[in-house]
Amino acid sequence: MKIKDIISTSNNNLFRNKTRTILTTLAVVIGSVTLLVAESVGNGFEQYVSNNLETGSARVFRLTKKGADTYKYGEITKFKDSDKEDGTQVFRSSDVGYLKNTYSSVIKDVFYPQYINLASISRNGYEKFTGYAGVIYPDTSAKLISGKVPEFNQILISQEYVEPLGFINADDAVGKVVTINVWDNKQQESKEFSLVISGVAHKSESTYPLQISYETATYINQIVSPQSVNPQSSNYLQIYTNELSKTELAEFKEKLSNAGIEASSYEDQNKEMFQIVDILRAIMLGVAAISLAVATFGIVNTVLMGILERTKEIGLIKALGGSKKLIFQLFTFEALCIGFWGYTISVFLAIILGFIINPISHMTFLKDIKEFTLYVLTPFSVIKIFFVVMAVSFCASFFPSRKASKLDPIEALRSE
Amino acid sequence: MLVTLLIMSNNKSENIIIEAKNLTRIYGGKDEACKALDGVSFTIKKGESVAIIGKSGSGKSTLMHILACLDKPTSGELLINGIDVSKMSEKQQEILRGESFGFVFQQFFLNPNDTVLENVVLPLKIIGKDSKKIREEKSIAILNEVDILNKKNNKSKNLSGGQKQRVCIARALISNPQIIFADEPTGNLDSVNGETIEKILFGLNKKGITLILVTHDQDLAKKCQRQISIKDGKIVKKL
Repeated sequence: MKIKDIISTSNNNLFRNKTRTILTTLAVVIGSVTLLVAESVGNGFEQYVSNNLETGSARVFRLTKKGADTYKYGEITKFKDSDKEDGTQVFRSSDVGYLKNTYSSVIKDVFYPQYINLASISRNGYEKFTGYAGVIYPDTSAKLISGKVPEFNQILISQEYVEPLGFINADDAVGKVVTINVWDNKQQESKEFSLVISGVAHKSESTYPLQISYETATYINQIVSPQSVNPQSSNYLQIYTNELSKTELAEFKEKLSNAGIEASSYEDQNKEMFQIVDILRAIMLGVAAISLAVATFGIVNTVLMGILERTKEIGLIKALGGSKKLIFQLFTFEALCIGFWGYTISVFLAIILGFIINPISHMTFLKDIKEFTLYVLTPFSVIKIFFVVMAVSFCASFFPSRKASKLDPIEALRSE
Repeated sequence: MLVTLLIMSNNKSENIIIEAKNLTRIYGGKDEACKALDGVSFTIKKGESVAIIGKSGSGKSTLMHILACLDKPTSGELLINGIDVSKMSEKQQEILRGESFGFVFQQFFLNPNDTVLENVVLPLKIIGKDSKKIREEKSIAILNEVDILNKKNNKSKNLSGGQKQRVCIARALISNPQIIFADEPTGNLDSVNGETIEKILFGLNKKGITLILVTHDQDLAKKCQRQISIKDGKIVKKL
C-alpha cells in the first residue's frame, strides 16, 4: 500500500467508531495539554530566573574562608570565638597580598567589597529619589535596554528611573548627567557626585537598580568614608580572574580549597534558585507524565478494540496480498493519527490558555511581579512535545499492532 | 512483474498452472493430529474450470487454502506456474496472492460501511498499484461488466446477497488475475441469483481465467470442465 493510502485508510478507520475515538482523543488532549502547560510554566520560571540572575560573570568569584560564620535567614548560627581571636575566618590585607602573589597567573584583580550608601539621585530641575546602588564588577553583563555597562564616573540605571528623572525613553537617558548624594559611614553628611548615564537596564529583582563600576565606587568611598576602602578585615573578597578553562578553574578552586578558601561564582551562589526551578519543573512534568500515561492506555485500548472488531478485515487484507508490515502500519498509523489530532487540538488549547493564564496571574498572585510571565509557550516546546506524544502513541500501539500483524488470514476470516 | 517472470521461466509444461504433488496437511500436535489432507496430487491447466467437491469436513477448503497460498502443506509440493511455492519468500507469495489470484467467498467479506467502489478498489490499494483515478476507472469498467455499476456509491451493507456477490467478483477481477478461487460462491444465494453468479464466473472462465471452484453442490460442480472429489482428505474421484 502506498503511504498516502495507509494514512488515509487509518484515519478513516478511526471514524468508524466515533465515540470511542473522541474519548481516546480527549484523553490524549488532557495529557498533552498538561504536558504543554507544565512545560510553559517551567519556561516562565526559567525565563524569570535567568532574566534576573544571568547577569553574573563567570570570571568573578566571591571568596570566603572555610568555617566562617555564614548567617542564613531562619537559622541560628553558633557564635565562634575564633572569629575574633586569631582572625583566621576573615580576610586581612595580608591575605590580599598573598592571593595576588601566589595566583598571579590566574587572578587579575582582588577587590574589597565596596558598599555605596546612597542618599539620593536627582537631575537638575527634577525631584530627588532614593534607591539602592551597587557595584558592577568587571566582565559582568547586564540586561540592557539601551547603552552599555558603566565605566569610571558613569552609572547604569534601571528602567523604572527613566520617567521620574524626566527622560522620554531609555535612549534619551543615555549620555545625560545625573547627580548622586552618598552618605558618609555615620550617615550624617552626604557628598555630591555627578555621573554620566552609561545605559539603562531591565528591571530586575536580584540586582541593584543603580550600578556603578568598582573604580567609581572606590573613588567615591575614598572621599566619603576613606576607612572603608581598605578595611582591616573583610568577611569576603571578590576576585576577577583571567579567562579559565573548566580544568584550570577546577584546579584553581582546589588549590584555594587546600588553603582554606572557598571560591563561588555567581552561578554557584544562585544554584539553589536554579535548583528550585528544576525541581518545580520535574514535579509538573511528573504530573503531566501520569496523565499522558492514562492516555497511553486509552490508545492501547482503542487499537485493541479496533483489531478485535476488524479481525475479518485483517484476514481479508492478508488474503488479498497484504503483508504483515502493512497490517502493522495500518494500526500504528491509527494510533499516530489519534496522537496527531489530539496534539493539534492541545496546541490550540495551550495557545488559548496563554491568553487566559497570564492576564489572570498578573491580576492576582503576580500583581507585584509584573515582569514575571508565568506561562511561556515556545515553538521549541511545541515541537519537542509533539515528538514525545507521537513516540508515546507509537509505543502504545506497538504490541497490539504486532499482534494483529501476526494473525493467520484463514483464522481471521473465520472469526466471529 | 514477478508473475511475468514466473510465466516466462516456465517452458516445459507451458499449460500447467497448478501442480500438486502428494499434498498433506496435518492439524494439531502429535497426540491429537488430524489429517485434513492426505497425499493429494493433481494438475490444473491454464484456462480450465475445476470443481473441488466434497462434504463439509472433507478437506476441500483446506485444499483450496493451500492452493491459494493462504495455508502451507505439512508435506508435499505445490508448483504454481512451475515454481515451488515453499521456495518462495513470504513477499513473493503476497505478490502472487495480490496480483495473480482473485478470491470469491461464500460470506463475501465486503467491508460493510465502505461503498461498492471502495470495496472493489481495495486489492489495488493493498498492492499499491495505480493512482486513485486509474483505480476508480478500472473498477467502474469491471462493475459495468458484472452489471452492478448503478450501485457503485451505495454502502455494501445495503446490498442484497446477489449484488454483494457481484461486488465480490468485481473485487476479485480488479487486479486482472490468472486464477479465481471461488469458495461456495452460490452458497448464500437463492437459485435465481445463484444462476447469474454462475453465468458471470463461467463467462470469465471462457475469457481465459482459470477457475477453481470449491463446492458441495453436485449440479454446480458438473458445470465445470473437471471435478476433483475429496473425502476424508483423499481424492476419491478425478475427472
